[in-house]
Amino acid sequence: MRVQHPDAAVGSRTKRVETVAAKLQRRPEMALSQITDLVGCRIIVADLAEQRAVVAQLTRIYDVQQVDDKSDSPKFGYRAIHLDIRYRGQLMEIQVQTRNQHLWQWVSEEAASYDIAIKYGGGHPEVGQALSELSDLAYQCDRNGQDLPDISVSQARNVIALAYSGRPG
Amino acid sequence: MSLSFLVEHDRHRKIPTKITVYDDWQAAEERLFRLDLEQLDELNACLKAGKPVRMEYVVLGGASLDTIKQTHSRYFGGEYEVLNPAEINHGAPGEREFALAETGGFTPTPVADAAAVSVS
Repeated sequence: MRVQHPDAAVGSRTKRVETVAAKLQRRPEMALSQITDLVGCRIIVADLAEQRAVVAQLTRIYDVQQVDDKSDSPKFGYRAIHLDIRYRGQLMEIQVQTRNQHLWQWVSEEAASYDIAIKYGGGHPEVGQALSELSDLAYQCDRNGQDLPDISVSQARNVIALAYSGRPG
Repeated sequence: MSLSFLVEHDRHRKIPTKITVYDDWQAAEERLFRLDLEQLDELNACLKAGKPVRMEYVVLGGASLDTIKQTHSRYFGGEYEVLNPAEINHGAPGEREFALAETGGFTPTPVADAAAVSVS
């Protein structure tokens, strides 16, 4: 993959204790062994075409259990393609995102630092609206082969800062 | 070769994000485990209240700092400093830091390269 996509950035992480606990709290019927993203890998690519190409390649290489394509139909504004794979007996998640999709995620996670409900579509309505608009813009930019304009990202971050200014941590 | 990056991120941005680079994944995970244990009570309280815990700890893996800047960019949105335990440990990454942390005597020192400079 490195040969065909030399500019793709590949990073991994183990899931944080906090997010595992929150997930089990939200879904008490779920067993720890059912969480597919305890180990995760994220690949950032330039555009939608490369995203599809990388996913196709990963599908050939790995034992893919499930593909969840949120690039056209976002979940609470979040866009990416997720692959659940089985690797050495362990379920893992690979997230493949374009740079614009990742930039949106960064802004969204900044908002979730103030209010975790943002991550699941709740929280301050103005923030939700700003994130939704930014997600749509990221999609349009990806389709047109453009980078998200800095000004749009700054505006969304300002909305978040204003919405939560003075809020106790 | 893949490196491990232990990220200590203050969600309130009151202190710079601290990123310690390990070439030993297990040492990074051990340190993470210790940090998670230290804030377990706070974590439980935050979970009950449905709010994020202030300090976020995570271990990331990647070929270089530049790589994780791209894949996990939010930790680099504010001020951050990069530490290298190998510099502190005289070639024994992770172990000395872990031992000193247990005695409360660990004070990380930034390494003297460009990546170690605090960035805002």
